[in-house]
Amino acid sequence: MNGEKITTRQMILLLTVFRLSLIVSYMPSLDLPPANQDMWIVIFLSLFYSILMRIPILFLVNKFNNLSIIGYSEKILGKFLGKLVGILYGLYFAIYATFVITIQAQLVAADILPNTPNWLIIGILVVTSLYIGSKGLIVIFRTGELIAPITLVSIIILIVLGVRSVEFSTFLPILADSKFSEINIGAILLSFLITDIFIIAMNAPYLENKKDINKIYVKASIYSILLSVISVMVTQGTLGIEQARHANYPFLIYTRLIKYESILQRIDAIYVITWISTNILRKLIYIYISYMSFKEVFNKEDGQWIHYFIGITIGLIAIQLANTKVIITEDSMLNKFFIISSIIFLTIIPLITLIVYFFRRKTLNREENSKI
Amino acid sequence: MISQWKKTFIILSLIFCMLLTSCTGARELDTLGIVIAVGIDIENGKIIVTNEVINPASGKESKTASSQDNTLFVQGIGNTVEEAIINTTLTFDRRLYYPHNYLVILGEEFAKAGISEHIDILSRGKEQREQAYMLVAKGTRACDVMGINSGISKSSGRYIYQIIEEDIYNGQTRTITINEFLKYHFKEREEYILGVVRPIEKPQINKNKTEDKIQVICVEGGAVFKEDTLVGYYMGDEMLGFNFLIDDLKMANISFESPKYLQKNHNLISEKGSLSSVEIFRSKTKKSLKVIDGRLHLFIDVEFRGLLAEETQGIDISKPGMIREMEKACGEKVKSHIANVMNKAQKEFGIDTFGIGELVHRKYPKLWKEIKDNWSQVFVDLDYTINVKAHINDTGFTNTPPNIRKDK
Repeated sequence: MNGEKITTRQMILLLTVFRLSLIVSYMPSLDLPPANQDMWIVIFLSLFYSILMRIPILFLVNKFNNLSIIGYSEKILGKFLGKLVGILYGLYFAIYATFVITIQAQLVAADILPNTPNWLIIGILVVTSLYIGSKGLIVIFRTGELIAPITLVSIIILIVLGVRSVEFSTFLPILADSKFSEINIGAILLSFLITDIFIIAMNAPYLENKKDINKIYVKASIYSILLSVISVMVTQGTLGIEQARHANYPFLIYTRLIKYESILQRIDAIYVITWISTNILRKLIYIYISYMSFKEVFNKEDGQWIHYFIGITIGLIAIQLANTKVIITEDSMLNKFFIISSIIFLTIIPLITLIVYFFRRKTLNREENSKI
Repeated sequence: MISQWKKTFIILSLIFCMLLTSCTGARELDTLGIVIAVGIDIENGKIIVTNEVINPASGKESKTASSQDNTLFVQGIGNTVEEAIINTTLTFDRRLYYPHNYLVILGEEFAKAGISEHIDILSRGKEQREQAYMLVAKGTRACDVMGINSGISKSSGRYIYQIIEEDIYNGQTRTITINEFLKYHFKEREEYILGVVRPIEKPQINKNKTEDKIQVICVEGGAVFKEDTLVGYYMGDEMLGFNFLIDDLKMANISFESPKYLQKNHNLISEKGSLSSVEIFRSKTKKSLKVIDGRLHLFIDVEFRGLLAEETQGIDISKPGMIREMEKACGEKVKSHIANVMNKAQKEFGIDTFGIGELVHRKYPKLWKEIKDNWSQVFVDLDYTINVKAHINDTGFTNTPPNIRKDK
């Protein structure tokens, strides 16, 4: 890594735009309970749950900030179990990256390149990701530092341009149609759809200031939640609650409605291009941390071939999915799979690891001291 | 020093960037039939789609070509709208292209038969923009209103489009885009209005033309839908009341009779005038609900500002108190428009086209849960009170009309 580190600002920027790009892509929040005008409250509440459900993993990352997930898993759970956990995480990151690439290809095909074959779109995305990834983690984050502000400003501009067609009375009455349990279930499910804590967890050893881990996570969460709430509100306020749920890409439809006389119209391509740029980073980071997991599990110093192998495999599976699944985001089985796997990898496995850590704390401290 | 491999890679990337600007799926302009208006009808169970397509050759041909030659009309027939559109390629030498289409006209029979199963293409299709206006062809088929161009625009589609765009000057009509239509369509227990377009005959004034009559397009009124079926129309004056009621009046002209006693003591030249006109430029309507003696009561408070545009009754408005009386008379007229449209919605259609159910939902959510399934019946029996405050800000350049002599 040539001694270069990831700065706090780079990490906050990337996490913020990754979450935002997930929310404004197919707006998964719109179909979660209670699926009505109170979704903005659900998104705000998901901030609380996303911090609560990540306490185990945040604790472990802070405690073992010189190690990645695989590193501290091996340390706490033992070599065999640790490596098994590492393989599982590696597979999970790879599957997630496949999902992200497939959504991206489908959105590009939906709006700007409807007749371009999926293999060409996905091929270009994968090649770009592998090339940037091959340059190392710091290059990825520097690229992100360049692209993230453009993404944020573009989305803010699109929100501001379309705000005059928002009917704010859409959000009334507040909380009258939603049950307390529905709001909380929706918030919990939404918190599990956001999985970017893994980016901090896998890259903690490369952070410039390791004491900032909690600050990074909380700040990124707050910034992204604020922008997500505004994006969802303007979309629902312009399209209406039901029409937004009927749309595959609600924010895209919202941008198609932006019109100022003949000067400014048909600017939906701006949103698509911005979203593509951010998503390229998101999937290349997931491909990279998948590669890091396998590299660490198999103790490979120079494992670039693993990186290319993972990228190509992901690309091939994504092509198959894009060709066979009409709209991947509407596949309820896949959605259930992601939520269940997120619960397992985000909360259950770290919680088990944390419990084992508390039992083995003295042994681990003794081993640490003997090394010193 | 850049290695040979990297140089090759960079050069290849640049070549790809240039080639990919016209990637797969590119369509050349001369293969496109650019549609500027679409009409949808139903006949014997078949969907007929009529498209007005720009004729790019007309600009190059003789200068004597009429504005009608600027466009062509292409029809397709099928079991669904999409099939009808595709079937146009069997007889037309271009693939129809919809991103520049700003009008979707529904034939009356088509609207009466129910539209929700046929409008999927409006939201699903990538080409059709959601800002296109939706209209119902009153008393006729959609294809019968297309092809009429009695304006200055170069095509009939543009002619209708420009009339609709000017609706801000006249509150007797309503413009709904596809996006707005879908928003209202999905709302439960709230029905919607679409704009109306109909052909009317007028006498030919241009003595150089041979025809006695010409056809013009009129967009006065509104088409009332229940669920997805056309149930009737609001007339022009009723639409004024409607636009006041939903607080969507941008500009309008109100013609009214002032009390005859105001003409007393005036030195009248002519007594034949009976109306005055106020041009409204700003209006605000507040609707509120109260439960009185166990019944919902709707209060409609309208306040508007306008200027006195015309006065034919022979009333000297420079006299003290006259403007107040004119404002009262104007307010009464607006009140009657609103009452007429409420009566029609309650008595004739029996449906809430004003979003009052939404108001109940917001103010009394618990009560709404009890009555929402029976809202139509509740709406029919809803009591209401209308209060109108009119303000005449300006009387123009004159204080006394020409049909009276000013006192010395």
